[in-house]
Amino acid sequence: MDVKAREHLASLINDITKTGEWTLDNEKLKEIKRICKKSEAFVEMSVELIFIQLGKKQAQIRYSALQLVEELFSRSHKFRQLIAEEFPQFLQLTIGIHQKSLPPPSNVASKLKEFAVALVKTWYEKYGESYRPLAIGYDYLISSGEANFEGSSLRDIRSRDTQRSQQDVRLKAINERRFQNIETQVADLKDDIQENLKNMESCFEILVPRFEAEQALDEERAAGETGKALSRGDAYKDNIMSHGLGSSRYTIEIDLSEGNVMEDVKESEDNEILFEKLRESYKIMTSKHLTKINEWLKNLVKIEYTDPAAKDDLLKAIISLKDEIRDATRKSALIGIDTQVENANKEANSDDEDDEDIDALFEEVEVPTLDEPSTSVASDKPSAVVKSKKLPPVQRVFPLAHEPHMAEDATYTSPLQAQIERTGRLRENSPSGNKGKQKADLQREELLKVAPVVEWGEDLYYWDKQDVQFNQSGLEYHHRFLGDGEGANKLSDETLQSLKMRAVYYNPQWPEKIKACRAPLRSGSLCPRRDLVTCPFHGPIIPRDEIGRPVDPKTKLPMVDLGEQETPEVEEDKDKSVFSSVKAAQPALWEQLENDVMRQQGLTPIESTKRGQKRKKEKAPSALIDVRKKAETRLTRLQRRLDDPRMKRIVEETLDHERSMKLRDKKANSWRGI
Amino acid sequence: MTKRMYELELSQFKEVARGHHAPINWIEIDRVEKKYLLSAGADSQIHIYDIEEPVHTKLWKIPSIARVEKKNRQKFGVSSVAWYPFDTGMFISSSFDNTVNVWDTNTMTPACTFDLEEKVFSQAISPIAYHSLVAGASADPRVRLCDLRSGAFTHSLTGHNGSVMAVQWSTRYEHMLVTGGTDCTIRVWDIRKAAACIMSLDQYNTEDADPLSSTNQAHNRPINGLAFSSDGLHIISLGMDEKIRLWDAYTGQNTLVNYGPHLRNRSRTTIKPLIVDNGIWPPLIFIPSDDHQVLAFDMLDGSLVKRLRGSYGRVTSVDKRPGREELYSASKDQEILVWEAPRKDSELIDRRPEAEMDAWSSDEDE
Repeated sequence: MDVKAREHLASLINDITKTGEWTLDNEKLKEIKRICKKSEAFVEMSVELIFIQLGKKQAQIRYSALQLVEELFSRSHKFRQLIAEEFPQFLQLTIGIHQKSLPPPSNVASKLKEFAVALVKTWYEKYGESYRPLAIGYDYLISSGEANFEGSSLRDIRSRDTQRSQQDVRLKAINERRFQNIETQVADLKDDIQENLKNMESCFEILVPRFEAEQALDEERAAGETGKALSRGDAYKDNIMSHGLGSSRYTIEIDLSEGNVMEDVKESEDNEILFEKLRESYKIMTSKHLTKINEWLKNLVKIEYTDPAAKDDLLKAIISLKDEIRDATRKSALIGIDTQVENANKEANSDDEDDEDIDALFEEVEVPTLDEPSTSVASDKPSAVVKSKKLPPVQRVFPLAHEPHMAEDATYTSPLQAQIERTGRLRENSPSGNKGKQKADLQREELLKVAPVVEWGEDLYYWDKQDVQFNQSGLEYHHRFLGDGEGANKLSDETLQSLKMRAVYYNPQWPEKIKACRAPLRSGSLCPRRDLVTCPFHGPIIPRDEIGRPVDPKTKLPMVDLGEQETPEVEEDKDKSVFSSVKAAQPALWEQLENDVMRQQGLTPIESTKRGQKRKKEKAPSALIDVRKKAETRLTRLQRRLDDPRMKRIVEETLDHERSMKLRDKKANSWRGI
Repeated sequence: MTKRMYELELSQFKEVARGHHAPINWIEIDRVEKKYLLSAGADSQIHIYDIEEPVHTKLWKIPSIARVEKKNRQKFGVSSVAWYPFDTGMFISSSFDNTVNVWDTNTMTPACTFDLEEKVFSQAISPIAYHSLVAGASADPRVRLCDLRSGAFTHSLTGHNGSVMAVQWSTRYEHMLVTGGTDCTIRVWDIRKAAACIMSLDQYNTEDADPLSSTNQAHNRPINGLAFSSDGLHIISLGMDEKIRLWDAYTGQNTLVNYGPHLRNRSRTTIKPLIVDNGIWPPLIFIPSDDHQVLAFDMLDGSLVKRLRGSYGRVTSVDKRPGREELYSASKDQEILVWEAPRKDSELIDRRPEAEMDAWSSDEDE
């Protein structure tokens, strides 16, 4: 027999049964029938192959194989004979006699049994006389009560199958249409929403002056963050003077709390129009846009779209819109627009409930208070402390140096730079400042700009000393044992070196607020766990966008809002983790090397995707349900973690260490043994 | 005739109506009129079928012509039945309720009951002897001989160490009895002797050994099937070690015929194999197998001739209708299957049903 034809038939039968669909592929079926018609040898072969497929432990494959049997059974005498010969086994595989249960998935298995029973019945009625095993099998099924022949007829089942496959196709189309619908809606309404938001924003800007406009406040900040202030010495001084402050040891506190905004921005005749406009926009936003957005989100999550990337993009766009709206809502709440609107019409209540839902869904992100537009207060409250914890990079080395309470500490020496600055100011005060000195000062200032700010310490005293004399009184001291000194009365080089060293005690400070992991969960929300470095479920904590996807480190890292409250070391950890993820995304080193070599030899480098594909064959789309896949449970996840070789190694090492320590202790305690 | 016997297949013209509602343990066809089939089931029912076919019928369903009334039934399942060899007016059954019963065929009532005090796996009556002794194989190591004339036990044959599963009378010597038991031995008895056991068969044919040596073993596992050839020269034994052995009945030697690894035999019930050697050569043996088949072997060279497949349960018993190429097999699926050589009538070709035609549609042409 032709080996090629055999292989062809085998692949055909294999393919046709592995689609997992409710109906057979018509083209392939025709091809199989055509081959089988040629000779009886092919029929024999196909029976053999079909029995292999019927033996598979997957009800969907068996179902398709049974459909194929039905097709061929009605056509070939030889086929019928062969099936009849193997009828007990056939029944065992399709109906599940002899205590052999059908394989999973169970819903398909029950359908398979129903189908097989109906098929046996029709066969019995048509062929029962000519093929004795059919009659015996039918008789057996009736007497053993393993099958219920009063079930649905073959025609029912067949129509149900076609119906179901059509339904699948229809559902797919509906999903597609729905998705497109939402997409167009978003495209239409997006401009509207953004325009509305823009309007509101501009209103806010007019009502609440921007923080940056306050020159005076800037200067006050400069007093705290001395690094910036140097270049504007004159203005600074004037300012200080004008506020009646003689020294920088005053602390200035600026209250930027949100509560003030409400008190300060009042509706008056001047801004009535603005308020009116805001109210209107707010109403549109909450009643129309927000409900629409919520609706989109709800629908979009439900839809199973074929292209998940497109779905994600759309989802992201909608969520960013929602964020903006929430921001605007918060702002309007600050100036009390929401309550006004609510009072105006109680119908808006439902929207507010939605709002609450959102709050429950999304994590509250604290908006940095410094950026908050605040007015008026700055100049009225001069005795204030700058409470910024966000320090310029150089000061992160010694964060304590700029704690305001340190300035009041008598034992505390303020940083070198502040001293210099102070002396510089004194110098400026004295009229005897010649030009040469000024030039030197300029140079000095340039240098100081880049110089690190370090807390005062002994080491700084010795920093630029070449030799340090001691005992200059002229009196000789004799040491009891060492006798006379050499007479140089100088500190030796080593001593000087050691004096220039500084011991710094590392005082790790835990962040007051730990960021959440925010990895997307299956439920649609984001992971609320707060861990310092690594989330036990989602790995290292990395900056993520609104829907929990890691921010692409190459393009979007700068825009990641690292929390205000975070201390530098945590940030560093974050950077590291981001870096590692970048590394993972990039091709391995050997791949890069290989590409280089290929390029030098004038060959086209192998694409990494191709490499992967070589090993992993592209899987044909199939509706087969993977019955071997175990359900993911807490237990399996834990098990996987326990089985991790790295984890095992760590545990082993720990145990080993403990054991060795015990042994050591035991030896140390046994006195008599020696 | 030989050829026809080799061509057995499921009968197109006969089928036995379903009578039992539990596994069928034993069937037997009488040797006198050659048309009555006895079947015994685990539902303690005994049926009699008339297998003589009326002429010119298409597919004939053989009905049960007699069965035991409920009040006469035994308490537990019937393990075996046998016709009285010389008359169909009487048959003998053994039951798991510890009894061997003798039945009157006409009234289907027990005429005589022997209580063996242990459950009886099988019984046998000599097909040639006039001594009318029924040997009962029970869970008791003793083989009891029941005298039908007096209605009392005559002998107890001692020698086995465990239950006796199978028992057969010789078809050549009327006083010779063969039994096989769970102690893995097959014992040959001469019931006339005081020390009745004359030998214990040894599968290894050890030379110069005592024929009654306690180390003799016929199989490595319990023996649950025995059959004599019709000339009484050979014994077939089935062991739960899934082996078939052919013994020389006269010398007690293992003939060492290898029947291959085809047999499946793991259930602890007595099964009934069959030797067919009347008029065909080489003789065939039909062995019921646990994997729902009847295996047909060439008795002398051990080659597998045919597998009779079609049953839905473990086959327990086979019997051949004397003088015809008809084989009946009973199985646990409560059905008795009829196997027949295909008929070569000319009219058959005419009435080849439409259903056997190929029906390829024309659209698969290209």
